[in-house]
Amino acid sequence: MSMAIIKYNYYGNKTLCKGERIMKKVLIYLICILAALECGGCRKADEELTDEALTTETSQPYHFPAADAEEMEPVVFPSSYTKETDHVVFNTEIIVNEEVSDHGLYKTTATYQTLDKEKAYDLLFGEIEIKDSWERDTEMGKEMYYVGNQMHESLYMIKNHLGMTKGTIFSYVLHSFHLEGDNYNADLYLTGETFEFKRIDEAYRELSDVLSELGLDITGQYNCYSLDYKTMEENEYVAAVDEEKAREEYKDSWTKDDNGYFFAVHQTLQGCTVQYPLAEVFKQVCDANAPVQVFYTHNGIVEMQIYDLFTFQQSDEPLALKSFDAVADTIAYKYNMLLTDEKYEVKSAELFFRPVEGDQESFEMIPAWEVTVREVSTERTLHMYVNALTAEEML
Amino acid sequence: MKNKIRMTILMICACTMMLGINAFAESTDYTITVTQSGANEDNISKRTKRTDCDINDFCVTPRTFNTNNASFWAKSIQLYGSIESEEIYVENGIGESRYGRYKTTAPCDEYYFMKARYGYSSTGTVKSTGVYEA
Repeated sequence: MSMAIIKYNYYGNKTLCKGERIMKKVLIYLICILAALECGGCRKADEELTDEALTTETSQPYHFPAADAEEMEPVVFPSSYTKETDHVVFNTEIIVNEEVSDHGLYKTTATYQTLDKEKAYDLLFGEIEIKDSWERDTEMGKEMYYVGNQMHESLYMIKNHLGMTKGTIFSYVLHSFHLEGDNYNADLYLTGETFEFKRIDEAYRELSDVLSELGLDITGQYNCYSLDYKTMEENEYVAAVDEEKAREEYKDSWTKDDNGYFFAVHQTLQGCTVQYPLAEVFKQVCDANAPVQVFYTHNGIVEMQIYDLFTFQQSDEPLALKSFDAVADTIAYKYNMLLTDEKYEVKSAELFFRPVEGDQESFEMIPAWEVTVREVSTERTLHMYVNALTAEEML
Repeated sequence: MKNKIRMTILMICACTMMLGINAFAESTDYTITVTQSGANEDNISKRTKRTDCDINDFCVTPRTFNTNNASFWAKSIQLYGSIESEEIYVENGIGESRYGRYKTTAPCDEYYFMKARYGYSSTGTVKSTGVYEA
């Protein structure tokens, strides 16, 4: 509309002006004024967005790649992907939540939820007679540790982490229930079995209530493992070099009082699971690395591990994801570059959100692929992480 | 009255003894691969709960090595927190336990993991299996 008026004025008034040169100057001034007005308008919209949704955007080291208008449509990923290159074969299951295909992903930042330590002590340990305790300052902040009178009765808190144990039962459970490693057997317990002391949903609601009282929100998804005493007894194994010593550490007897639910709770964001890299080495998106892990028996919560939980600030700025072809090129390039004859099979790729830390404990939530690769000759399982926005490997 | 006191003391002693008998350390099998170049390593054990609260040590007991003349360095690290142990040298002495001390008091019932680094091997690679107690 603006350009049409300019043209009309320019050509229409051509004979009425003092000269064409003056009209050209007028035209240039008009264009500059209009351009300045339009830019001002854009800036205002951006500022509104920033104020409303991205309170922690400033000083972030990670810069989201600029997306073209054409790329704003949500990318639809196939359910599987097949391709063959020199050393890499793709027989890949692609795991993406439907929500992502329907609505796309949006730029999001995150900050830590704050654990109310005083409340945690009162609620979880207030009635326990304390045998020993200490507090000390560390580089991560104040560390608090309380030990009760009974064996394995402890509460440990540092920063936003809480570890609580009540009694010996969970130490025995760890001999029978393995969420990771060569002796993984957790799927034996994914039966959905309900024990007589409480239903699964009731136990989970109680857990949610406890966390709410500690100032924590675990809106997300959970897996519940029904740990029944018979399966635990059948699968009990104590790792030890000395077999005689190991025998002493087996549980004398298992009864139905040992039954319990193990909850592994993950936060989700826009339909994707949020990754929690622990100690910078345990990066896999799996229940072993879930930020909330709880064992619940007829005595209630007897084991609880809470790691950092996030509060998300989601904007309405859509993110443009790269196609899986681009992701596959990155995977193939990495493994084809290895100077061996080893073959690799890409088994699966799952889309999740990874928190990338900026300044002052604020995070950019980066959509990323967790790629599971099988090293053919050794049957070793490897994991690789690829930024879904740039298709670059994330270490 | 005296009998009651004696009985109470005896009961406490009995309970303490039972607790002592039941004390155990959580341990886990480890499999590590460390190399001279640092490439293609698998140098982390599974996480393990520290359940022996009486001592401030961790322990590594190797079962197997890939060559007769091999060794690695190992330390125990808290999964979430700031606690680390000193580093210990683990040589090919099958079944012999090596102990390392935590630099500060390591809380019980917390998770730890073992991190290994290359020591020596005639092949440039150390593969070892064994047991790690946090």
